[in-house]
Amino acid sequence: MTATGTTVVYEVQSLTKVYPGAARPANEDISLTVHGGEIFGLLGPNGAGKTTLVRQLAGLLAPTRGAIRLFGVDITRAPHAVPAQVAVQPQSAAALLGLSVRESVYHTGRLRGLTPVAARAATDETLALLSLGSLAGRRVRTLSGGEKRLVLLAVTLVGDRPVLILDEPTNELAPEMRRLVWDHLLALNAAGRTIVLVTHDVLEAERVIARVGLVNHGRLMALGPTSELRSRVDQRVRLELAFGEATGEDGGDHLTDLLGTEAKVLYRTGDRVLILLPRSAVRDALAVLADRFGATGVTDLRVTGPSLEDVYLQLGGGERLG
Amino acid sequence: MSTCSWVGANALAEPARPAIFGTYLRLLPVAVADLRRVAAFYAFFSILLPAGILFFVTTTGAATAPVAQRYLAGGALAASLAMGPALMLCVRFGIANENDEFDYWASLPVPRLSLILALVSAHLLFSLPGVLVLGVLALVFLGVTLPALLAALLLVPLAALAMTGVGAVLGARAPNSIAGNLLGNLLLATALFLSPLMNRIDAYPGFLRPVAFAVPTTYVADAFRHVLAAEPTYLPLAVDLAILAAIIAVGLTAVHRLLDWRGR
Repeated sequence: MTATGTTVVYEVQSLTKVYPGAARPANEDISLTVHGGEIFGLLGPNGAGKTTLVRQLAGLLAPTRGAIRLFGVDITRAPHAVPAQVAVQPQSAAALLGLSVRESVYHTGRLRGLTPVAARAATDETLALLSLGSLAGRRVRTLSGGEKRLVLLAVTLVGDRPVLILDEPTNELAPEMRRLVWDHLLALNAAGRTIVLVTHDVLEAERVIARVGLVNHGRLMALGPTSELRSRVDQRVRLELAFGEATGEDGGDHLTDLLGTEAKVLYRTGDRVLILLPRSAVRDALAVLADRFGATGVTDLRVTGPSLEDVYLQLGGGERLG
Repeated sequence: MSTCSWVGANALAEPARPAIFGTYLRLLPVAVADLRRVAAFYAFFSILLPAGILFFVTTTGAATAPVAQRYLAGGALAASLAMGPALMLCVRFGIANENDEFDYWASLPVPRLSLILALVSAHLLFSLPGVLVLGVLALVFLGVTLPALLAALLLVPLAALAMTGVGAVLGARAPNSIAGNLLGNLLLATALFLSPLMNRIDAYPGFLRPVAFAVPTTYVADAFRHVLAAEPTYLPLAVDLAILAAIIAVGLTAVHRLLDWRGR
């Protein structure tokens, strides 16, 4: 137990992974802890080293150096101890392609130690929770990408492991299914499950992550509660704009001239631009934009405080996620 | 975050490894289910080449004597097991490696040996229809007697396990399906041309004969021939069975080592 009374689920110390023949480490000197009952997020761009890190947490990959303890057990020496406590969302449905959706969930439950009766009940419950009932008899091979992703989540959830490792759980899902999945994960977390979540979708992650580790170039760039990390970045208001084609606006430097010297363009992508403004300047800036572009010139406009993405941009190495 | 009910219960000592046999029994239906939709293709594939060779040899009059025909029948049964379980399992492992399929199994409380045994057993099971059809062909066209054929069928599990073990060893480190396919076909070509399946070993050039003794199908075919003979010869059969048992033990041990699924 820690000083705050929270059990440490994972304790990672000086973890380094170098793949044979690789020029630089995929993970370098990473130390972190995951506490019981929290949703811990790993954020970073593609190729940052997140998946290598979670594969080691899952006992699927041996570190080159360092230690990983799961509930106090050194899993670098005893990787077979992991599956009893941790359910890992598979990255590929390849092992299940020849099975039906129901068989995939049922057999996974059986392999996690459920009796046939309990596995059948857990299968029915999981399929219902993820709205997979209508696909139960379909072979996994015949499903769409999003449907396969849901099946992979279902096989992760069956068998009630106390720790879940989820890598991009809502990729390829329709918006209504994304919401359903997040709601369900939050419910599981409220019921006590610890969740390690890998994602580059900060907008969705913002809803659920309590603590976050920012990974880039194989290193842990920042670590802490999301609220604390947000307080460490520029506190100015974010004004995100998207311009209609008719305006001819490209988010150029004259935009800062228009909004005053206190405005700072944080990034530009296509027709979108993100500007930092002091909170006191927002009202005037919106009025200026309305005057300049009218009601239809700006196709999207968001005013927000510091977000996880800002945390990443400022503390995590400066590359946009995704 | 508050302390959850789970964590207190799971401040664990290192858990026991799951029982190998119990997990094997749970995995077997999964491995069988994976193959059931290709059962007809599997049988056809393992029958086609041996049956074609049998047809060619018998219709050209190259094997008219009963002894020669039973010799051919034994070779055809061994070839079927090389075509079916050995080649198919080799390719299967290549596909699994390519798609990180073993990550799924390794993330479950599944001992590696249980999974290997389940995969090998499923392939053994699906090799039976092909062997049965070839046995019936041998019964009808090659003068093999029914008691001899039934005795040969009793040998199938041992012979098939030996061949699946070889296929699994070759496939375990195949990085993808193409490599698995190439290695499987290499095994098949070796079995067909470097072990005496369709030809007598004394027909081979002297320098190739030692190679034949290193190819598992040599002993599979030889064992079948001993039980198919008009008067079975038990001592040579026992030697073949012992060698096949050793091949199984070595094969399973090797694939267990090669399939290093937690630590690559």
